[in-house]
Amino acid sequence: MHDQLFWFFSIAMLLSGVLVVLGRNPVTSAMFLVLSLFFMAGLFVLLEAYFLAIIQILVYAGAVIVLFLFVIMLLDLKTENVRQFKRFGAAGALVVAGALAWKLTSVAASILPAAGAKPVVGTTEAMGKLLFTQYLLPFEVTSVLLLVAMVGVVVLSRKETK
Amino acid sequence: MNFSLLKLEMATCGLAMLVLMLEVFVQRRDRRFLGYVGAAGLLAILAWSYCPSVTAGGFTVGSGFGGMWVNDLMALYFKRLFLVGTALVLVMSVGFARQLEGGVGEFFALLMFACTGMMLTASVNDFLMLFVALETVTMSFYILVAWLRRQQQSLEAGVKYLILGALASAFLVYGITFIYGTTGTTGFAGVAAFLKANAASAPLKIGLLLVLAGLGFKIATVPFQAWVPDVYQGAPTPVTAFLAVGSKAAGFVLLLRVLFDALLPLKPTWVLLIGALAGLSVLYGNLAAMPQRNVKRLLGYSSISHAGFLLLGVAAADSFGVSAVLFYLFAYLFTNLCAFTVISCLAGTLADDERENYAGLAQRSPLLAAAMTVALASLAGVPPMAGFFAKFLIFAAIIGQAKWCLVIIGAIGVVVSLYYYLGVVKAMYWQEPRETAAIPVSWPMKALLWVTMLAVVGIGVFQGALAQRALEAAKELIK
Repeated sequence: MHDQLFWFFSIAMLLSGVLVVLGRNPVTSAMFLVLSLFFMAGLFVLLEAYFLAIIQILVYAGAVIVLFLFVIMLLDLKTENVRQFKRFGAAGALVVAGALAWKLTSVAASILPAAGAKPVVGTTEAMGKLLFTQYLLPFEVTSVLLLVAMVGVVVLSRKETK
Repeated sequence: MNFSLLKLEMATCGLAMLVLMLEVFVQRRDRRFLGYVGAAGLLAILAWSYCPSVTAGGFTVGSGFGGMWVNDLMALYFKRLFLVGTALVLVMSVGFARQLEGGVGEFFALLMFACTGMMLTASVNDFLMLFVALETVTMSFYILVAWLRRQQQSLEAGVKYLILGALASAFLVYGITFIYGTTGTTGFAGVAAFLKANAASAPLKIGLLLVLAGLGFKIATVPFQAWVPDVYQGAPTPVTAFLAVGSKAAGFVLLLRVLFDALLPLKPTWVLLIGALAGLSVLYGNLAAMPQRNVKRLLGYSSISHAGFLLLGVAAADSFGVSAVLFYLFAYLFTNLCAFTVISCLAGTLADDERENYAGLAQRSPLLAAAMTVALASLAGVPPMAGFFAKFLIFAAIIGQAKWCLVIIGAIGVVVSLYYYLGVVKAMYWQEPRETAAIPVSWPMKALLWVTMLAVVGIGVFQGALAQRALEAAKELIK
């Protein structure tokens, strides 16, 4: 059962991810992104990371995507024009992407479970404990990172002041 | 948890927030002087870092926070480098403030937040911490590069830097998942222990390669250099200077830590890889710089070639090579800041940074022309400038390792670089100016020009003390 669910979630996630990129209409793309994030939340549940799964749905599928949709609708984007590909550039991209994909699949086939990984408990309590003990330093630095991002948004989006 | 290990970073971050808040209380026309507040504060923190209570009370002690954080002489060396660099860039930004739109206070604060992130990178000893610290730096730069958002060039630079930077971060974090997946740890020490006990499996290797690709973007080495010319040209000049000296040094300290702490058991493999990247960067940077006519763009390509020279020192892979890299970064800091101060002084007067506009600069402003000449001579490696001794150390290190192929490539690079650096000097001294009006330079910028010029010549002539410190720091990295 566990295995079937894993395959279902991953294939569905990848498919909707591809549709995000292929969609010509921005709203359709954003909706497929929601779908993709939902399936990813399913994967987190299978890994018993319940807290992450909930956060994934609340924050990403909920708040972030709603914001995306707002912006898309406010900007009133038209369906995107068919892109012009440069032949040389497209060929180069294909070669590099192909080589990377080939290498990654061959690597993924040989992957083994982590040697010393501790069994993870994904509950809110365990997560909180980890954040405030082992990972305290990166957690605190993230607050500086978020402050920088916030200042940046204000600066780059405000109107001209004379 | 010993937060006193983070004294310097917390002070820098606090200073940034102070400047951000002070802006509200200061009159609009006086706001640019907040840059001096920031610079003075950073210099005070620099002085504090020499205080015995800081150096003894934690600096030589070693690691903290479950091994995520290491305070050694190399960390201290880089922290001082970042503090000096940011203070000088702040002074440069005050002179540039007229060209900056809107909130200069936020501009200064973001420079200092970036400095905080860089100081964090100097002490990183864990892949997770590496990612967070590096993102703090990069995030600040995304905003700073796009600051002149009414100008198409700056906006274009910002978008390019954002997209390619996000791609590099994606590579980095993807690589880290592979590393964690195979070793079960994110700590450098843990990864090194795993590599000693086990052969490197394919997933681990690809993870490490992806991490190196992410870092390669930061230090602007071939083949991750595509963003450099456009971003250097489009970004506000002080930001370009900061990218060249700060972001690159942050990338190098992380590269050194990853290679010598986490990947030491794989040394024979990565020496070849780094050597190849170094050779390619030196050749590409120097050859592509030759046809450039825009001075900022030219310095962008020159920064790629200097990343190559620095990687040559890393490829030597001994304490002498690493000390050469550390020395080079300090010499490069003053040299580049000198060059970019000249460019930023000219920003208000010249139409753009094309080389034709530099014609006859010596007649219009002898000081600017002299400073640019000193900086370019140092970049080219002409004695007795700092850049000469830095290149000398790098070459000595790779000759010591008998890597003759790299020595020849480096020598070709040096010869080629003379051509395009001296092209600018020729334009400044031996071509007739289009206009003859003298170019005014404000006294803080004059002071900055003299400080950087004297530092470039001073480090070149009295190299002993700095080289000694670099060697001590390098010896602590390579036990």
